[in-house]
Amino acid sequence: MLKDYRILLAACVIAVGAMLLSIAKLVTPGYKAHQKAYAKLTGSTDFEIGVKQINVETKAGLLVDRCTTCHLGAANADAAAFDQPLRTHSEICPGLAEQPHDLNKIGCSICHEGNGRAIDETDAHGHFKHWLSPLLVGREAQASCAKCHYMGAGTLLGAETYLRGKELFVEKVCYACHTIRGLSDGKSAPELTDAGDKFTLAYLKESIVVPTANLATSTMPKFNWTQEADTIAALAIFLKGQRLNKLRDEASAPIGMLAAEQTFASVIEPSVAAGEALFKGAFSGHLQLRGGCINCHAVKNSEGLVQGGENGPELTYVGRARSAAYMASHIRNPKEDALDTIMPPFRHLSDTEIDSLVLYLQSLDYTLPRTPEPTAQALFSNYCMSCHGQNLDGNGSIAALLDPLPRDFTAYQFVASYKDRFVNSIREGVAGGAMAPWQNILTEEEIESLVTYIVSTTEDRQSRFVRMDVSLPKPGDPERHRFRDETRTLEAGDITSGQDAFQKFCASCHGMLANGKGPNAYALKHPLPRDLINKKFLNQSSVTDERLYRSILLGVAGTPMPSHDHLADQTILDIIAYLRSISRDTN
Amino acid sequence: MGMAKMQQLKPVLHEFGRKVYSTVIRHGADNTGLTKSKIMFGNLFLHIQPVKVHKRTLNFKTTLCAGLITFYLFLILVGTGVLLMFHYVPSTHVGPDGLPEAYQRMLNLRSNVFWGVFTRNMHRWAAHAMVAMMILHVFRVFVTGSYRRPREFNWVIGMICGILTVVLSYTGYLLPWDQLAYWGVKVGTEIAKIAPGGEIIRGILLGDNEVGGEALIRFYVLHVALLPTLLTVFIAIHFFRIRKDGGLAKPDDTSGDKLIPQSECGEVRNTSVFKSARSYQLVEIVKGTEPKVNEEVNQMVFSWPKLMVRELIVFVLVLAVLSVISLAYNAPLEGPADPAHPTNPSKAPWYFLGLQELVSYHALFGGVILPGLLAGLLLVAPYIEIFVETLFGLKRGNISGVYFGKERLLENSLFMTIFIAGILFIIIGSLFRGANWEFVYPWIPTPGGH
Repeated sequence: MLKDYRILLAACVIAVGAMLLSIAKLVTPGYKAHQKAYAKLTGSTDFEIGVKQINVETKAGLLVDRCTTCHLGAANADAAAFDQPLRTHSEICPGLAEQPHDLNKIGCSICHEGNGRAIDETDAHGHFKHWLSPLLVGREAQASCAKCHYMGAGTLLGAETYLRGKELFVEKVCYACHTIRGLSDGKSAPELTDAGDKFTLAYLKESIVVPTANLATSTMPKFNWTQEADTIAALAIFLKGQRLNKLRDEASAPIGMLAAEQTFASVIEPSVAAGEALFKGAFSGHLQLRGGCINCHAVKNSEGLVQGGENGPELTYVGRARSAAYMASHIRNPKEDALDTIMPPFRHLSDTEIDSLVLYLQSLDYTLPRTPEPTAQALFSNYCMSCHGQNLDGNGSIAALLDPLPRDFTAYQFVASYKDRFVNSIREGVAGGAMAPWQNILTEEEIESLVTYIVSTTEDRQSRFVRMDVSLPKPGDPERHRFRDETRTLEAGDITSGQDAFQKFCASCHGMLANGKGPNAYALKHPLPRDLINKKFLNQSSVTDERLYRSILLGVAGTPMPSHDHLADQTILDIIAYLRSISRDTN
Repeated sequence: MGMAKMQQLKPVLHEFGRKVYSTVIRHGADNTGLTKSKIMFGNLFLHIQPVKVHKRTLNFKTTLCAGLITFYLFLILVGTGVLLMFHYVPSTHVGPDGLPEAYQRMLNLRSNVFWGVFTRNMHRWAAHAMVAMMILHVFRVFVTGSYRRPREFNWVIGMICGILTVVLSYTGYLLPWDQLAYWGVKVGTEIAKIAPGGEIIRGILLGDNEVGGEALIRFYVLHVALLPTLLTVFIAIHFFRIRKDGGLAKPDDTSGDKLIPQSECGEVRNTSVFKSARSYQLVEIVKGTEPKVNEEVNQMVFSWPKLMVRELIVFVLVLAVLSVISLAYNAPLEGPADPAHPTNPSKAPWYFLGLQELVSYHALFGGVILPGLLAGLLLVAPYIEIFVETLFGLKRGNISGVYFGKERLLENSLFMTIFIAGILFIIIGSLFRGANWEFVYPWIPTPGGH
């Protein structure tokens, strides 16, 4: 019995001890020391130790702010020399004789966020997991200006970083994909009108630098300016300032702002200079131009100096390769040419602006110096490598952005079978893809030299591969009768049976819609199944019925497209008829 | 002068004190069987217990203390819950800092309400522990066959208590109105949709098509008023029936059991003139399943003080362990509930994760039919046994009170299979499931955002 009492006693001691401990933490608050130090520094004799509180009246209710429990000298001009947390707050609007913000009235957490109700440091500064608004330190607090000040356009003293972030939002072409109401209307990426309410500053920074860090499926490019800490900080602070829930509305904002909506510069007369400014997203006068192509696309100037991003094809030669109409339509709606492109449409650009951009691209005149005569390898490195890759394997730095993928020339079977087409493909380009016609940039000799170079890299192996020679059967040809029925000759392809055959034999890779996205396509790497509803590709003169017939019957050498010699000629003719029917150019 | 006065006054004060004492405690404490009995039935709270209990009752092994601890946790939950009610507001009204009122109250508890953190921690951890101990209690009762005659109906009452416990815990889960709460409840109510008639129940519970402000107030009222009252009533019935059914189930022959020696159970003085007579044993001659007279009389001991002290020890231990846990670990609080941003993975409270795991295989079969069937079978388990015994004319007599008794091999095997499978599903659901409900190893950290 005695043992039981002892256990009872021990349990009581633990329970009471734990509870006393939980209370002990509460009766010795951390702010006491700060308040005593402050009382001593100010020489105040009647300082009362206790929680200090500012009640901020807002239209949504009372906001409690207890920050001054520790930050005692924030509004006291004599405390400038004290150590934190007792120091005077620095000037919010630098240079003004009278500071417009009365800290005793607005408190701290309105601008600096954190958790104003708390009196413990970690808690008050919001440094705990899942907290959406951890403390905004120093200039980061500019993200809160927009809570009260209506920041349509114009400037606001003390909000320089925020305003720089707004410029950057346009300069760094964010506006083209993201919507912020009143500023941009991009539809290719999540809206950021309420970004500040949803995300922490750290989250925003991380998502700008590594877009896939927080959303694995993000297609946002990694920009080459993400090493610039100031740029990232300013952008993130601007985004943190985007909120739908504001403390003041437009009418009651403390300082009336200049304009209701952000206005941008516009180009009146098309010119190369305007095009260049647009391309670089620069200012025209005091207004910003909405361009910024340079964030993704690089160009070389006349001296061959590269400038720009690597999230899209280099555009040095595009002005000479493509027509003005092609460029204009591609800028307005890039999905017309490449369905899966990450490039957003730039529909807001006026005709004069598009013309200026086209003029600028056409003005670029860099070519690899021809004296002394460049080697074939140098030509390849300069013109082809960014897509076709250093090792000619079709894995250049921007290859993944292109559809179809750049040709892999290490597949010697492919080179052996199709090398006759190469000269033409370089000269005239391949329609329905990123391969541009190079005849205006490269000389005939250079093209020959490039083809020789490409063919030479796999020359030693090409003899291993021999492709059969087959010809397209003609309907009614007495030599090409139907399978197992020698009495009947072939008929012209039938679209309906072709569709059935396509779903049966082709859809696993090319997809039920024939768009190259069948279930097996995900297991393939390079090249991917051809998008067979790409009208531009299928309607070019070099894609004949004979070529389709051979590609189906024999497969495409050096690619995952296998031979289909189990298909009867009639079936292949049907499939071709079906493909022609879905890619028929309605124009 | 003072000293003399004091000396004079002392016996008067003493006499006064004795008189006041005797108005409250009317019996002396002379340790006779009579006073021990009087202590027990003279006190409302102690009278829940019988005057004498079998020595087996005192052993930890007999009950694992699971039911008792569950009850104590309920008491602690009521205590801390009432404290929390003084501060909590079940409102989703958004304040000037952009936070819903209910969530703000959680922050206040953490930031500036005196003893708020500790109270909330206690409440949170006790709630989880109560569900766990309830499950352990069910386990103990089943594998010892303690629900057999005459305790069949009390098993059903106990099951109702168990269901109420889970629903109580679940309704409380929503109240902090953070992401964890919101999505946990969202998942649970989505599972309810699958069941036939689930839409209606869901609609009644939520008062809306989605989890929102209406759901919060309904869950709150259920959590603080309706369900605790119901549970209190059912606990009372449960306890009352334990006594009416003759205390804890025990095998017929307990002579071989290792029991506490008589000397451990406190001294019983015999002040009777009939020195040989044992005062209590005469009363023990009654029929039926009331505190009974048989060869086990010698194994019965007075509840006071041994049982009372041991029960007190368990209570204080529960309090101590819970206090230490509450000091060391804070109850989780995530960002405010945001219907637009699901957490990934969104997980229900842990006791529903086995269900969620099953739902991930097949919604209707895994989420409704299988668990519904199991819960139904468990609820009427004693009657199934009676039915089978009647059907085959089995006369198995008293086979209760022993863990994994040989005679109950079939029942226990079936139960253990389902029980272990359930635990495994809960473990897989809570630890081995990551984003998109994909299989992960808990010891390999997954890259996560904020």
